[in-house]
Amino acid sequence: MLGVLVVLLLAGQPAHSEDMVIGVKAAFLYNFTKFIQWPAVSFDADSDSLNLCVTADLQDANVVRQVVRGKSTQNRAIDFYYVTDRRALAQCHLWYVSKEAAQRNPDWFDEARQYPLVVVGEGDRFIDENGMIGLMIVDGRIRFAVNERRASTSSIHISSKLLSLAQRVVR
Amino acid sequence: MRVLDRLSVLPISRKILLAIIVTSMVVVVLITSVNVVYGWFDLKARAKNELSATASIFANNVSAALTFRDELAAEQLLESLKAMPQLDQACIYERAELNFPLFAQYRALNPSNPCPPVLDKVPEQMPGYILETQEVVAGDERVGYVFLSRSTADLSAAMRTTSTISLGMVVVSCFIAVVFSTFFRRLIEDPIHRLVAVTREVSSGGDFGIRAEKFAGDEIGTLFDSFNAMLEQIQTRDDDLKKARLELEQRVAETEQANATLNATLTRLKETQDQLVHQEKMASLGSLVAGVAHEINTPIGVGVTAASTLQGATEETSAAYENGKLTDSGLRKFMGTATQSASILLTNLNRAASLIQSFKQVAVDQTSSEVRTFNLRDYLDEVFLSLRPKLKKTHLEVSLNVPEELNLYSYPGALSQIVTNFVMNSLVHGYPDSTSGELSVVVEDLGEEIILHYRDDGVGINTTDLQRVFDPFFTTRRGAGGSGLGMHIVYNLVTQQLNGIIKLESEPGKGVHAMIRMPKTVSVKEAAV
Repeated sequence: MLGVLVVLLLAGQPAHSEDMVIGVKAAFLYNFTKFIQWPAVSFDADSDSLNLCVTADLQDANVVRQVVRGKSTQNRAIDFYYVTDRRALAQCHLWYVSKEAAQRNPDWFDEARQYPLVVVGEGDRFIDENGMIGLMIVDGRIRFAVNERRASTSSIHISSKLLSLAQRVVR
Repeated sequence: MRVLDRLSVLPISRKILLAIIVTSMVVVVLITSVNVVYGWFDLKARAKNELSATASIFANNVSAALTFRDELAAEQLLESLKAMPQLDQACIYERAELNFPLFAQYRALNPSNPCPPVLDKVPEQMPGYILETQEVVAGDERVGYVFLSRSTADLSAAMRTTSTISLGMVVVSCFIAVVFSTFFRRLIEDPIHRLVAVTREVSSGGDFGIRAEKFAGDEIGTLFDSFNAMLEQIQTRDDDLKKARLELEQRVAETEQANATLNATLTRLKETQDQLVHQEKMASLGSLVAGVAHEINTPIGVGVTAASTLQGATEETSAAYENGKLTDSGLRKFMGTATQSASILLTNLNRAASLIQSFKQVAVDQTSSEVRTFNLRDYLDEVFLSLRPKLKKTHLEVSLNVPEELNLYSYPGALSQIVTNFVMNSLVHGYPDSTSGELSVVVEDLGEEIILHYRDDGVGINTTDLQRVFDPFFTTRRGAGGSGLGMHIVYNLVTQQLNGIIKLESEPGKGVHAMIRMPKTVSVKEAAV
């Protein structure tokens, strides 16, 4: 827990270690959930939790799990899922896929498009290929780009406040 | 009260002017003050609301930048606040472990007034400023605070302008009030002046025929109507009063005239009465003379007969003496005749002389009002002697019961007339069928006074007539020669000359009883009628 807090505190600072980077990224994932509206069909009930899924190496996934553990957003608890099977994506609301995992399983994105699923990946190019939000490092700080068009196709609404912070937005 | 006293002496025009100006001043000042004060608070409330809304929007907008700790984005958002020039400070505080340190601030706004370094140092209130602090929430999480402050200098300036305009409005309102009240007060003032003028005219001239000309149908108009109605009433009453006075004067004059006529009539009546009384006295005297003449006639006649018998006898004797035929017996016979004749003559002449003496005394007494001392018993004897010719024709007897040595200093004539009238009344009225009866005079000596009772036992007088028996000209025998003055004269003589009182008692069939109470010595002064 202490580690997570340190990560959070240092999130604004240039990332030097891989742990620090994944920690900041995890905080970003959590913060994204505050500014995104999922369609009503995504949840069976108001009390349903928001499912944050990660497909990455296990160490990184554990960092994310630590960061979001016990957190809630938009009056929903956040549940963490480590996804290794593409069929598991059906229950996800936000899916972070690492650069290596994305290259390894390109067909998973076809599966992801069937659901109102916010797909977060690595790099500026990610939003042009398959994802909705791409994380990147600019001037030593973590930044992101958003493909709003793709989000709209999946009936996902991304807040203009979030868009105003994006490095690049595809509309 | 002193202010009211001072105001009460002002002319009504000033009062109206004052009332309107003071009222409008108070109203305008009150409304303006309320407006200004309300305006100030309203302006502040609006500014506060505006600031609050701005802070709310800004907090919402800055939530993402604060969440992702994007200072650049936060500063870009702060730039947007340039649109609000009255904003003095804009500070964003982020959530940290222990407190809320300053995350970003809009430096361009007021460099001399930097944001407090931590949220705790942000003041809650600051004079001349409106402050607003709002939390920034992202998702479920409070990620920080925004703090905005704005100066109220612009509001104060606006209020100064409003106040100045309001003050100007007050002045203008007062001016308008003066102008309008000057115009409108005439509506009240002119009729009142007119009424006052009419009142003065009426009170100074006393002419109630004047009427006030009515102006309008308001309360003052009603006052005019009432005033006119009052004048009309006064005029009517005045006229009535004048008429009544004239009538009264006329009546007084008439009454005075009637009085004068009555007085004249009364005077004439008294004169006539006196005349009649005098005539009655004369008539009474006449009847006395007749009675006395008749009475004297007998002794004189007897005297004449005796004298002529003596004359015849003398002539016879003388002739016989001449012829020498006078015998002794013849002389003796003549001497007897002469002696008898002389005796008869003497007796009868004495009788006549006595009668004449009596008559003379009574007649003198009756015609004069001489006061003298006389013996009552002797005097009454003489009176009854003078009445004997009348009494002789009746079957009446007279009894006198008078103390012997009773002397009066009074009017004997009056007493004679009184008794004569009593007797004559008894003869005329008391014994209608020449019945027999008794007349009596009884005198009581009371020392200073006497009471004379005269009684008859005739038919009496009924009550109605008894009440009027002393009235002048009252008689039951007017056709039969009664004058109706006899008892009236008796009354006057008793009360005025003898200074006494008289009372008459009688009942039908029980005769008459007259009582005279009088002093023995009459006061001449009092009785000098």
